[in-house]
Formats: sequence, C-alpha cells, structure tokens
Amino acid sequence: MGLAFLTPLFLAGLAALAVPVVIHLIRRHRGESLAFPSLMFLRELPVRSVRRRRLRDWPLLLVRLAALALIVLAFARPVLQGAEEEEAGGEGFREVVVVLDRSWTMRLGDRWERALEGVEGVLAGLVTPDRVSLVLYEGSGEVVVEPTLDSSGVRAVLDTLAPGWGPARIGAGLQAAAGVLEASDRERREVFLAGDLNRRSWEASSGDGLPRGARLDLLDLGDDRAGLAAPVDVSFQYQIVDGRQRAHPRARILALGELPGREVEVVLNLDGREVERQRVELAEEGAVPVEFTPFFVPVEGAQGSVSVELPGWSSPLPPWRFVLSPDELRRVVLVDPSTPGDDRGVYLRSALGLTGGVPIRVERRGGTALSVTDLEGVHLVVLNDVPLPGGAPGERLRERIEAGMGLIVIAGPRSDPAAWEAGWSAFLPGQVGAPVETRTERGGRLARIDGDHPVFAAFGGAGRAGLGDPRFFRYRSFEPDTAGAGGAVRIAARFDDGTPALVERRVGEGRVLVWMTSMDAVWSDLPLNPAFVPLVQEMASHAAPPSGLAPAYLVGQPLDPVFLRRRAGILDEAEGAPPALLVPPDGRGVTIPAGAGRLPPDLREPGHYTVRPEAQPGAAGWGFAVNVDMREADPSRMEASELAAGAGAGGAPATAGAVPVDGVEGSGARLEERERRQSGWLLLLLAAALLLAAEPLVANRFRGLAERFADSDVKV
Amino acid sequence: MSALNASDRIAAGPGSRLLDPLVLQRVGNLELVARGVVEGFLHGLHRSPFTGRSLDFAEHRPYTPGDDLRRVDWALLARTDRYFVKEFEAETNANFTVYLDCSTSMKFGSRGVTKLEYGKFLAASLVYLARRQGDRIGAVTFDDEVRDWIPCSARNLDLILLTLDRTEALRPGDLGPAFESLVTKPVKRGIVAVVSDLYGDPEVLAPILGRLRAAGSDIVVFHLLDRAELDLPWEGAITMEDLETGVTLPVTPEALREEYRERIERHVREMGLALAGVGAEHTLVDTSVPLDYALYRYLTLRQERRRTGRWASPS
Repeated sequence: MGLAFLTPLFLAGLAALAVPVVIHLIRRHRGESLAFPSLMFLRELPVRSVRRRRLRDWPLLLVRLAALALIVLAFARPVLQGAEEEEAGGEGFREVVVVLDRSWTMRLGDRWERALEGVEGVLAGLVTPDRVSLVLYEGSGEVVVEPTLDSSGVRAVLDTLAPGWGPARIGAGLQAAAGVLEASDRERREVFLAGDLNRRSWEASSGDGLPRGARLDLLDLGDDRAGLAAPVDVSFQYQIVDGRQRAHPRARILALGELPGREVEVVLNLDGREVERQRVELAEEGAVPVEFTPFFVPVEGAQGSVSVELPGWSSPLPPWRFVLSPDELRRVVLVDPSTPGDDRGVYLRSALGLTGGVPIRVERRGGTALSVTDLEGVHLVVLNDVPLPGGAPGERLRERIEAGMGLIVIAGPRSDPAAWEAGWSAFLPGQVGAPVETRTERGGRLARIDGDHPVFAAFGGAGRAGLGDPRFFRYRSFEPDTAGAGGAVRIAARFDDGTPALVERRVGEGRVLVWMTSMDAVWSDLPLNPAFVPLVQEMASHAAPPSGLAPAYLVGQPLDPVFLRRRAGILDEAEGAPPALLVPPDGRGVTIPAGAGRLPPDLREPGHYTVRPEAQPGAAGWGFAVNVDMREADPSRMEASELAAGAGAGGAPATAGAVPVDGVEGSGARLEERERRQSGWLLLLLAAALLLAAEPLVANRFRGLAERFADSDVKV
Repeated sequence: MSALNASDRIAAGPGSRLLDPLVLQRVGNLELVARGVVEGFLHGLHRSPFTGRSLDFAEHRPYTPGDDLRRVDWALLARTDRYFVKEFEAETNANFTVYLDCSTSMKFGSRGVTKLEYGKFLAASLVYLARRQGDRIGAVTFDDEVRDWIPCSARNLDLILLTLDRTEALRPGDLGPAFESLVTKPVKRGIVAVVSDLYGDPEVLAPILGRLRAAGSDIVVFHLLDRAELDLPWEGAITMEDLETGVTLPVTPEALREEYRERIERHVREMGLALAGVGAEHTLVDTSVPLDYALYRYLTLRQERRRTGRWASPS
C-alpha cells in the first residue's frame, strides 16, 4: 500500500515545521536581557554553550508541530493507494510503459525537463502492484527498464539520462512499447508517450501498432516556441583553378520559435580559426542562405564548422561541421559521340564541366568505344546517347557498378536499346523501348516529380516549378522491372503522359540512372532551360559513389565498415588485414575488425570522426564530419488524435476517444477521484483540530510543573 | 543552599514589619524612614543593653543652690562632709560618619528595593541613631571618587538626610580610588560606617581602610548584597549586562549557579577576613532582610568597643 499526494507541492509547507524550533532556539540563544551589578565572577566561569540550545517543554513542542504537520498534509491531499486494488483481487493492476523521446529536439527549451516532470507524474500515480517499464526512442526504440514493480528503478535511470543527438522515430518507440505490452498478462495496458510529436518523426516511422485495447496517453512537448537558429546544411561549389581545388561554401540557416526575424551572426571556422563572419536576418519561414567567400582547399585538407551566434542566446546544437579533402576529385568519363559537325553533346559536356556540389574532373571519350582501362579509378560513366558497351568493357563496367561506380545512360535517338547485351538487364531499372512521339505539338512536360529523390531534392519549393518548363517532343518508352532482383527500382520523374523520365536502379554499391530522352536540343528544349545545368549536376552527384567528402553524415546514420576501412587505407581483401579504429569526438575509439559485416550505427553524437589503422596511432587517417539531422526541426506537428489513430493495431485506434493530450492529466484524474473517495484531508484536519484543542491543556500542565520546580528552587 | 544564608543572616525580630525595606520604600521621606526605623528598632528591644551607659562620669563640682539633688554624690558627702555633685560627660565628642557607595552597581534590586535605596535607608537610620545617641554625624557619598562630603557636626542631620535623599547612582564605581580619596579627607576620629556592595579586590580595599583604622577611627563595613546576587536564581538563557561596565554576557544561570555561589561566598569571606585583618568590622547585609539587623550590628559593635575599652582606638 502506498501513499500519494494530489497536490504534493503543499508538502513544501512541512518546512514551516522548522520555524517554531528555529524561533525557539534563536530566542533562547539571545535570552532576555538582565542588568546585573557586576559580572566579575560570571566572566571567570566557562560558558556552557551546549545546554543553551536544549529544548524545554518537548511535549508541548511536539503537539504543536504535529498539528502543523497534519494541516500541511491535509492540504497536500493524500491518497492511499493499493488498498482498493488489493480488494479488487488484482484485476485492476496495470502494465504501464513510459515511452520517452530522446531525440535532439528534446534539447530545445525546457522540453526535457517537462518530459521528466510528466514521467514523474505517471510514476507517482502508480500503485504498488502496477508494473512499469521505460522505453527510449531516437532512431530506434529500446527498452531500457524492463517491466518492474519498483518505479525507483525507472527514476534511477531517468536521473542519468540526457537527450541524445539522433532523430526521433515515434513508431520505433511505440513498437518497443508494443512488445512489452504483448508480453504482459495484465488486462490494463497503458502507454505514456512524452515527445514533441514532430510530424516527420512519425512519417519516418514504421512498425506495428499498439495491441488492441491499449491506452495511449500523450504528453505533447512540441507546442512551445523554443527558439532555434542553426545551419540546416553546408554545401560547397567547387572549381578547379590552376590545378587547385577552390571551394565556395554556402550555408542555409533555419530559425524556429521566437528567433525568426532576429539578426544573427553566422561564423565560418576552418581548422579552429574564424575565417569569416556574416550578419544575416533570420527568415520568418524557411531557411535563409548565406554565401561565404570562396577559398582554396589546403593541400592537407581542412576541418571546419559553421555556427550561429546571437547575443544572449545559447544554441542547444553544436556547429555544423564539415571536412574538406582535395584528393576527393571524382573522375567522370563522358562517352560523347559528337563530331565537329554534329556536336550534340556540347550541352551535357558543358554542364558537367561546370562542376557543382562535388569536384568533378570530366574526361571525354569520343566515339562509342570504351576500353577496360578507361574504367579504372573512375567514379562515374556517362553514356550520352550511345549504346551500352558490350564485351569485356561492358563486363568490367558492370563489375565496377557493383563495386560502387555510377552510370548515367542518356537514352537518346542513337542509344539503340535493342542492341544492348542481355547482361545489362539486371543492371537496368527496366526495359527501354522505342521512341515515342508526344501527342501534342507543344510537347510533353515533366510531371509527377518525386521530391524526395536526391536528384530533385535540391529543386525544392518554387525551383521545382522550373522543371516543368522544358518541352519534350520525343522520348523512349519504358517498362519498369518490378520483378527485377538485386536492386530497387525507383522512378524519380515521369512525363505528363505517365511515361517514366528518370529511373534509378541500385546495383550492389552502385547506381544506374536512365534518362529516357536526349540531352540535346533535338528531342527537347531542356538544354535551353535554366533547370538543365542543376539537373545534370544533381544527376552526376547522385549517381557517382559517395565521396570521401561526406559532408552530410548524420547522427544515427549507419556506416559501411568496408567503406570506412577502405578510406583508412586498409583493404579487406588483403590477407590478415589489420583492424581499423573509428575515433568519435569523445576520443574513445571503436575497433572495426577485418572482415566484419555492417557495424551497428555508432554515430551517436555530432562532431569530427576519424578512421585510421588501429596499429598506427600516429596515422592521420581519414576524417569525416557528423551532424545533427536538421530535418527533425520541421515545425509541423501531429495531432494527438491522429497519432493515436495511427498507433492502433492494424490501423485501429488504441482506445479510441481515450487519448488525453496531457498524459499526466489522465493519471491525475484517477488519483483525484480516489482522493475524493477517501477524503483523507478531512481526517487530517480533524486530527489537527483535536491537537490544537489539547494544546492549552498540555501547555498548562507542563508549564505548571516548570513553575513549581522554579519556586522550590528559590525557597531552598 | 548558600552557606551565607545559614551563618550570616539573622531572621527579622519582633516589629520587623515596620523595618521591612519594602514598607520603608513607600514612605518616601527619608527622615521619617530613619526615625521610624530607629524608634521602631529601639522600641522592639525589650530590654536595652545600653541603658545608663550613655553618659560617662567627668568630674565633681561643688553643689550650688538649684542643682538637682539627685546628682549629689552622697558617698563623697559621707567621706568628706561636703556637697559635691557629679558632672557626667555627654558623648558629643564621638563622631559618626557614614560612607555610602552610589556607584551604578548599587542600582540593582531584584525585589523592588535597590541596594542604593536600602543603603540610603541604612545610612539615614545610622545617622539618626547616632544623632539620637548624641554623636556628631557626617556623611560621604562616593562612586569612583567622592561626590558629597558632609563633615561631622551635631547639626547636620537634616543636611545629611537631604543629601542622602538626592543621591543617585549615575557613574560606575571603583572602590580603590574612592577609598583612597576617603582616607585623605580630614575626618575626625570616630566611627566610620561604610555602606557598599564592595565589588573590588579585598587585598586592595582592606589596606586602604586599614589606614583609616590606624588613624584612630572605628570602622564597620556593611556589605550590601541583593539576594539574587547571592543565589543567581534565574533559569534559561539570559543575557546579563554589567551595570558598572555595560558589558553583556549570555549565560545559562542554572549551569553556572553552583560555581557562582562558591565564588561570591569566597569573595564575601575573603573580604571579611581582609577587613578583620585591619581591624574593621565586616557585616554582610542581605537587602531583603529588615534594617534592624544592621542597626543591631552597629549598636552591638558600639557597645562591645565601649565595654572593651577599644572604642576609637586602633586594635
């Protein structure tokens, strides 16, 4: 049987119990003042300071303190828990799962403190037979405290917790909670979820819903206006000038809560030195771009960061970090059959040559021939309106694709899909067919663009509208390979008649992009539109294997140990390959053994990471940066009812209509009802009144005794 | 229980009601107080041990008509067959001076009557009694130095009473320098009564009074102490303030009582011994007891000195 209080803050009034004692001691210490003829004898005597503080009339003091304590307890409205449940034979015992959002957005404002306060409210509402468990979720859900009857274990864990740096996946948390509930034999199964209910954290979630009949209480912590101003991303435009790599950094600064409209300073640091500082006004909506002065990347590379500074405001996020390496030029082989008299490939060649988000060195191969040696050390091959290579070059090309190389196929009028080798069928996203004429003279247009596809992600907002301007008069038909094994097919864009325009297939570590029309001004006017150059560059960036620049590693993102070891200069293929060491920002290295499969994600905090051979502590290794996933900063939130409906098993809501937005209220309401039935406060007040009534009797009795003793002392 | 209670305090005798300090305090007029005290005191003595001893034989002179026949020395007539009458010498050559301490420590009184008030009553009663005995009377008030000095005279009673009545305790006292200045005053040989609470070093005070004694005066010291000064009766934590110096001291009386009693008793005892050593009479007077005890001590002393012939001579 436990004791809870409906208004526990009143218990602070118990501190008032110390007041009479303190006053008593203070008054005793000072004592009454008495004039005396001479202290010449008293001053010679040692002072007894201990007895000075001794309390007299203990019974009287205790009576008064007890009365005060009872009054305070009455105001705190005590509730005896457990008695009713025991009488009910245990049928009402609950299985309570506390699901706590631990993503980085919980660092904003006082969300974490409010979450802990809410959880404490739930724990306080537990009765002794109730079981409670604790689930934390970021990118994944984890049961950190298994079901227990002792809520102190949960409290002990909570005391050691702090928000992490990863994204939130509500579904992962609910899935972990569902696992606990399904294993429970309790009839009353409840989930208390405390999080910021970010819509993205729900959309990115997957997993089964809660068991039918489960109750879901939500504590929405995202309804505040917690201020945030931070870089959403930092990108670089590269140029090769005099053989040196010149980077042009750009940052996008997002502001939330109370900060939009304020003026902040955006600081660019390189290798620990401040390079540039710009003052910008934060946008009311969206991110505000900031362009820094271009600079040459040092030969030895550089680590840098971009941070936002505002006087009187401290960012809950670390700076956005990046790593620059001049040796990360990506080689692109462009097979271009153009001739001086028919230079159709000039558009594509020029667009690739401009380079963009990645430093690219384009090597052109004339004609249609592509040798095996041409493919060594190449990151991307662009076949501009030529047939796919066959024979040994084709086989080597496929091997390289599986190993991570990219391939862009421009299926123009001379690409001749019918002549492609059968070996390519497993590498292509589908069957490329014959040319198709558009049904209108005005030509077809791009439509149904997948905005989440990396190629088109950069064409956000109004920029995506520019992709609808080009007119396409002819393109090839395409049948997606839905049954194709070994890779996922994704249609990134379609023409307005539904014919796929850009299709992707992942093969092994590589990608194959097929563009269903030409990149010249014959089948379309695309090259004459502003969207052409960025489209080509985005396609090249996406198709090429991930470079060592890795500007966009995010917390929680899985790492490929093979790739890491390769970057550290350790080849797995070698016999007895030594292990590599991944050194996160805190310096506590993690060994990457040779031959291991994928490691569990270990990017738990933002910062600069290094990979190097474990046996060579002095080796520079390969560095990369990890940042917080700023997509979590999306301010759009889910409605509680919406989430409850989605959390139900099989789409059915979990206890429809029983979803208080504030979970603490749900527990509190039961507690209040119980308190009302027990009326313990009334009994306590009556007891206090009785004590106060008896106080004069006690006072007279003990004071009378004291006076009698005093009199007898004088008479002696 | 204090040893002083048992050995040095005398219970009030019959008629003490009239001599109760609390009663006297309400009278207000010091002369009335003194008269009441002395008359009441003398009335209370059923058989005065001093009757007929107030006059000393001086000489014979021839009888002249008009002389009281009762004064004729019949024995001498029988031997010489001549009429002589006896001439008795009145004690008007005895000088009585009272020294009253009016330092601020005398302001203390735990039961309504301060030591200064009690001292005034006692001093007034003594001078009244002395004057009634025919002595010449004088008075001195002092704290750290002499404040008022009234030389001995047979006509100074009113002035003395007025002076005593107006005396207030205004300054802290220092008995050493005060006694030094007292003994340098041209005081005639006689009886000196010192009324003081004697907060000082006996080894310092006694020698000074000893010089007065050596000059031919008889000294009786009334050591005035309030009962609370003897018993320290309070309970609980209190802050005591020294009336002489203003120094405060937080104390717990019940914790210090026994040791304090020992020290005050030792002080009284040492003061008595030191004064006896120089031939002075030391009497502890509890201001809660009636005045007759002090008067009784004075008359006893006077009688003893007269009987032993040591009156007004150094011991």
